[in-house]
Amino acid sequence: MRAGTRLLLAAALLPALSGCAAGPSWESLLAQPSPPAAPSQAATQQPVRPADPGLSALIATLPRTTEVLSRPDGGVLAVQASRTEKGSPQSLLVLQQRGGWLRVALPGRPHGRSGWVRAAAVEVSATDWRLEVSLSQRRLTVSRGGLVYGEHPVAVGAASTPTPTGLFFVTDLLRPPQSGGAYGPYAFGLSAFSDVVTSFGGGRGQIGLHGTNAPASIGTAASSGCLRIDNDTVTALAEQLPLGTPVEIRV
Amino acid sequence: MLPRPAPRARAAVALAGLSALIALAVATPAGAFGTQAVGPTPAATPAPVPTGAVAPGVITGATPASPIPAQPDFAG
Repeated sequence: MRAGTRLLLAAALLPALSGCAAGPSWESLLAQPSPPAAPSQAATQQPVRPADPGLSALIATLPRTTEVLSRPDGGVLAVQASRTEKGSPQSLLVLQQRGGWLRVALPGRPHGRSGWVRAAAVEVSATDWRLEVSLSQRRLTVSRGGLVYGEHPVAVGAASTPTPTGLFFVTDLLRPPQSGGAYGPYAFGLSAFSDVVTSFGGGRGQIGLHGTNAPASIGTAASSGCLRIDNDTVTALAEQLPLGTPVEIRV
Repeated sequence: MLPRPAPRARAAVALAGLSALIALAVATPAGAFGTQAVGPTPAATPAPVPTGAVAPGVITGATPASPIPAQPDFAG
């Protein structure tokens, strides 16, 4: 009932949103944005701001291996599998639309890559969840529908292994076999990777947002790049966040 | 015979009903992040809402992720 009602509201609001004025700062969050488009097409490439922040992000889930193009009908920029390395459905944050195409953010190095996929070739969903991390304040802000639902202290990367900044998204949700271990009961994988740690525990230095067995480290700069929060908070988030949820990490 | 409510009273009742419907529509699930809104997000917060390429009827509400039992190898 609630989900249906929300969907109806979304359907009712979408036409209004598509006519909103351009938002100036979203694209600037990308660490390395795609090459600029041809001038004649620039006017249609501006992202739009929502009238209702509650409908804040679209997510493109790939039902099959999909070619990501450098521009609509352009060359192949990347080939994305339908599953992440961890086995999650490949769910990419949508940044922009043009005609029947969507520009999606790509996970991994280098940060800030994006490319285009056909809207008809992916499954599109919407979320109003959003995470923001302030590294300097060591604080995680959880918001939904334009309302802040919590502000939580977070452990960030140490000076020698800093947490990268930029616009990222949730790619995975893992449940470790030992809930009392270093990652706590749940660990979100993000589309971000460490700029200095290229190998960690058998992985490639992917940044995670997870619980911890070292609660005293929360609020400090102590990690190898991951974001640590208390176990109750990560458990609550695990019950709510969809893959593809935007995560903005700022200085 | 009972008197009919004044137009202003009927309008008030209608407004209250509409407010209740809106509140129901935007209500979030119970839980740590469902009942504790502490304030609006900063006005400057950017957000992508590219909608023109996808017909509204094609967009579904994203559902919470299903956790995968696995040992993480993130840069903890």
